[in-house]
Amino acid sequence: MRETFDDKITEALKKGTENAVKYKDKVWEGIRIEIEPHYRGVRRMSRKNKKSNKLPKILGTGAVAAVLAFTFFNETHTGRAAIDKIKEMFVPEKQIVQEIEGSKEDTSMDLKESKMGYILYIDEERYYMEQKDGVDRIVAKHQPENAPEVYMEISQVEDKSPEELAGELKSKLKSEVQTFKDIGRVSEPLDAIFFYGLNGSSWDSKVVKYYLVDNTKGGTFVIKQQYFFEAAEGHGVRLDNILKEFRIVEIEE
Amino acid sequence: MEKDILKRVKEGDQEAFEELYNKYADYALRVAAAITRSEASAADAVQEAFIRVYHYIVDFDLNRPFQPWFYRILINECNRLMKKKGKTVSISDYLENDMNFAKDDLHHFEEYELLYRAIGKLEDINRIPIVLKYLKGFTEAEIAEILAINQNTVKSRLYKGRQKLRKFMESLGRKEAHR
Repeated sequence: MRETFDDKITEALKKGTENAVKYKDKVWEGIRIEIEPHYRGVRRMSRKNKKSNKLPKILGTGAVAAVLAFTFFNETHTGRAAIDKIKEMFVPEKQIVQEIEGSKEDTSMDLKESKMGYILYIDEERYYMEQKDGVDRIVAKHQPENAPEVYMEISQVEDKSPEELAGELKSKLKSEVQTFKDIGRVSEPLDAIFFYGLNGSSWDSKVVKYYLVDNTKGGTFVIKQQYFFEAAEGHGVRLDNILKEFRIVEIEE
Repeated sequence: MEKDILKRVKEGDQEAFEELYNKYADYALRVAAAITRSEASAADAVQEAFIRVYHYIVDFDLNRPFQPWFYRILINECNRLMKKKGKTVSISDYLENDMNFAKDDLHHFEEYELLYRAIGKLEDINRIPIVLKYLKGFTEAEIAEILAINQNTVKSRLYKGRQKLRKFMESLGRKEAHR
């Protein structure tokens, strides 16, 4: 029977891709490494988190959140003095190496202090921080067109522990997203109760992540990240890396 | 059978997930290689696609066919990797001046190799439907679902892709005749 042009295309594709199959075992090994933590009970969200676990390498810092105490004598100067003291205690700028979409990137991070009593470092080339009505927002400077806004919001609930607050926030998120995942307690990118939601798996699907952090005074820092699905290896990693340097600063008046 | 495996994967059965991988990995690797034009990128794309399947299978409707859903994830991964690596080279460049093929001694290539190279030079919008149809055997309706485009658009892209390939192979034939 005479071979048609369609048959020739099929033959070309079949023969031309024969070698690709040799990666099968290696690829499975990579997948297994990624998903295995789930079977050990150490659950991770995705490969991106694994990458961010390795990086960034921030010089001279530990992984555990620090609680520092300051005493101030003049109440009117408390806020300013606290900020000045914080600036003395923490270096104003850090260089980190972070892995974004498979490539290593040197990033300069600048110290940001919050009146809520924490510090962190942000990449001011890509994000700016606004503080309004008791809520801090770290917002991407370049927002995508026709996709959910990219930001990380930090607020504080002073009278509820992370465990107490988790129930109502989970219910709220469940009602807003198609997929909800309750991960539980995590130590990376910081010690927190972690859950997240997705609105599909197309490039512009909304991703919302919550980290609930004990504020050490019976309350909770509520950290909410929002970005779109395709940005998981970009903004998703960058925002988690910012959280790796989240430090609670206790200000005693 | 497939439904049973998927049900077990949804329930968190790791062996079922491995079965699922073994069932679909070969063609996933082939398709990804033909789309990305790189076996290493294909391996990355397939790895990431299966990890995504693992995470999102909980939302997958067992009454729907698995492969269009899976290949949509895979193609997205391929596109993401290609976007990172650079632009697509148009086959029209080759048809117009044959510069790159002229450097090769085409005598040493089998017909299928030439055709495979030509497929690799097609623009994404033509190449991806061609690969899904002729390598994986998806119907036009399935390709439309995977690529989230109209079925008529699929028909048109397949037709144009075939035309470009035919034109290319004919130009090679003429070249051989003039040797």
